[in-house]
Amino acid sequence: MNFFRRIYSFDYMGHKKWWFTISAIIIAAGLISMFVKGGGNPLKGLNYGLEFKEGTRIAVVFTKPTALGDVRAVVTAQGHADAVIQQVSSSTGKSSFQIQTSTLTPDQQTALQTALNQRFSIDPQGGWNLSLVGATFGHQVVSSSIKAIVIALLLILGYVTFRFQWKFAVGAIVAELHDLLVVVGIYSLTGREVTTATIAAVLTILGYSLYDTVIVFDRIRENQPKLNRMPYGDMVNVSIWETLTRSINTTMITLLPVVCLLLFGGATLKDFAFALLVGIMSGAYSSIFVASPITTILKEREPQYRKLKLAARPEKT
Amino acid sequence: MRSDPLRKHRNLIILLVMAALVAASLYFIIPPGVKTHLGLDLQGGLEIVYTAKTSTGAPPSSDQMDQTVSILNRRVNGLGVTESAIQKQGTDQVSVSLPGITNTQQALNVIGKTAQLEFYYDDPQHRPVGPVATKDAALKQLKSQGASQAVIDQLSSTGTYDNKYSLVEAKPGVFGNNTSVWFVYKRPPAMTGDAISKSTAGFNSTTGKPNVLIDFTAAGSKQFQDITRNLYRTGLLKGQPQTFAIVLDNVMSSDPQIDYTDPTLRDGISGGAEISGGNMTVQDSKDLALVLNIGALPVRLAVAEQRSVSATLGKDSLHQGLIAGMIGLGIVLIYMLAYYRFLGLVADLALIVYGILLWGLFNAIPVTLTLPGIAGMILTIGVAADANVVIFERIKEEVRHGKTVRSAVNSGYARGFKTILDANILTMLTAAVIFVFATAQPKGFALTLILGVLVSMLTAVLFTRAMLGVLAGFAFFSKPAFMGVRTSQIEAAAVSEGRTAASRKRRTTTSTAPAAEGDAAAATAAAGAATAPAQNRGATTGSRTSTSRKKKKKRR
Repeated sequence: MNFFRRIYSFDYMGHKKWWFTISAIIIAAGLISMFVKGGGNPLKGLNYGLEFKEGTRIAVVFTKPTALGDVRAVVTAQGHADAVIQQVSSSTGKSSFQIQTSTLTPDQQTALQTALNQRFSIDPQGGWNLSLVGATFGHQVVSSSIKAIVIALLLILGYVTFRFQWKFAVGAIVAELHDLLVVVGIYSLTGREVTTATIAAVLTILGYSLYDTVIVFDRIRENQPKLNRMPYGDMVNVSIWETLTRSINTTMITLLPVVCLLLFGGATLKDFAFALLVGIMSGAYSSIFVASPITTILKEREPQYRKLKLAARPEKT
Repeated sequence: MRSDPLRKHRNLIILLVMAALVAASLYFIIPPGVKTHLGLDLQGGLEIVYTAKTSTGAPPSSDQMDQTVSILNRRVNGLGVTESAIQKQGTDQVSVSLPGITNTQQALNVIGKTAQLEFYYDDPQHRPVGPVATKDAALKQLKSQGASQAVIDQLSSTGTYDNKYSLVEAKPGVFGNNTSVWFVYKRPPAMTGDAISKSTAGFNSTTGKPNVLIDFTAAGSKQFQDITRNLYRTGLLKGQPQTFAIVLDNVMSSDPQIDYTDPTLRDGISGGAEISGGNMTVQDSKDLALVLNIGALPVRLAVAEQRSVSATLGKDSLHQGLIAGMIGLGIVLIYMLAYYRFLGLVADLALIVYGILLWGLFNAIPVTLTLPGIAGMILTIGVAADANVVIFERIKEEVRHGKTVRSAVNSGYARGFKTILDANILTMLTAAVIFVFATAQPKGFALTLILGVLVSMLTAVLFTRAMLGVLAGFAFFSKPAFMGVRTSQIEAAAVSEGRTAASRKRRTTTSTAPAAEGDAAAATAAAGAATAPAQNRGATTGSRTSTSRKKKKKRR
């Protein structure tokens, strides 16, 4: 209970350096992982899904227990020695595999399916799920995703500047970049696959994190004229205390369904949910610990607030 | 406020409109599972994105793309797939989605085929290269005959060079060969598929193997007669039988021989022709007859993306998504109820209405429900509930500051709405960006998000507001406990309100003091202390009167 009471009177703005350090450590860990895994090129330090590369991915279920080596032998005999084959699961006597190869022509697909079916008998109830991505498609996905992120950020910058002030917009954008880097870094650290679903989730996180930030900013804007005798940082603290219950409840309410997705959803939904989970937590954190302090720093450089801060300082020590 | 009949009417009207919307939604929902359009990932099927290329390598024209879509439509209909969707994507792509299809291989063979049927003379003048064992050897030989590197490069990638050369492969068995062999033919061909009037799958009368019989148009019939007559005469002159090649999409499907010793062929063959290449199966012959009947594509299609999902996998995904959504919704309902008590109940009702409206809207438009769409729906549960959290926190805050419940509700909505609008506009902005720029899959997610946010504004703001407005007429409504505010909290907040004016040091020392107590005496004292800052804020109602008002209402 003591902890809960303390968070409603904690001096958040007075501990800026701590929050920045925490964020810096998390982001640095992610960036280092990207550099190391990517062999110097951070963009290569992520585990990209099929959509970003070219090739064929087949999820195949055999009606009886099958050994990985046997499957590999058949796939290699079909001329796909470079195939990556993983055993996914083996439940109720069936065994399922994921086979990843280069882009297969329809004829090659048929040949492989026939060969595997003859040898191991593929489950007729949905035992063959194939997805294929040609060379140009992955590039399209990457370029359209980057375009979407940049445009989203610019729109946000414009809207927040229009509704608030550029100093707020800077705080919001830094918080957004923070969330982006945290999510990307965690994807690199955990080696999770980056899919188009991840990209959509990341874009949603940008929106969500901003939503959270705007609610704090809204209160700051409201308190600014009312508490104009108070040092800016203290006024921001008050605003955070006042919106804290909302922040916690909102984060809980949004996270609960996302956790359900993560626990009960299928593979695609799990992908989505993981990115959202990390992003929502980071977004909730960044609105209080990144966006607000940065706006405070910018605002405290204004003459009137600098004076207030200086006047308050002797009391602080 | 209560005496104003207009306001009360307005709330009732809103509630009636909402009830009508719910009824309309239920009409679109019931019976469940039938009226919802499921995406390929949820019902199984095949989705292919093709990139179109012209034979010259130039980007395809808009006319060519439209023609391609129309031909693909006819081919897909020929396969008997219902509810298929064929759409242009960008300038040079076509996406084909075939829900519920089981034989993906057949679909691939039929849909993507260019189906360019060509007839070539086999003499050295028309066939400068071949047969040779590999594609590279064929190209190399052509180069040694003086073709430029540009010609070789284009032939290698597209199979044709302008209207000059075609690279042709003969699969084993077609040319009396055991392995594939390659040729280069000179374009233009002696005849093309345009000359076909009708093609039928059948069987060769002598070998009993499946074949495709071609009937020609009047002009085509004459062309074919010319070709065969020429071959008969050349055969007679040279004293050896002549052949011609029937080539489908750069693959030789047969290489028939004209027997110069058979005098009945003197005037050529006028009836029709037969394609019986290699190891054609019955299915192959039917597929080929289908595509030949519909006609050739004006472009070549390369598979850019292909996704096949079995019906079982789709059903599993749908169930998992629904279960996750239901549990998620259930937990949020419980959370809201536990935290906001009576207000939570109103919010829960709004959430259920939200779910019904969104579902109904999805079916009515109709929006195709995909996996990312389900994720979007589940996420918007959070967004919808959050709008109520923002407003309720405001209301609670105002109550803690000493306002009456009713005026707290009014100012809670007024102030909360501004925040929610800002936040929702930003969510929709990003969703719109995803919708415009992202590729197919995230698009469904973005659309769900946009619709969800819009519907949530209706239910979480308008609907709960009207509910509370109507309920405000009842006496129980005025008890702060109904929204989870304790009397002790009213005083605690009042004290903290008092501290905001003071320096930070004082605040930190006093902050631990209240809340632990909580008797009635402290409450009134604190309420008294709160009046000064409350007036500073320009609040409309004095907090001191709150207790006496409460008593009055109880009496009524």
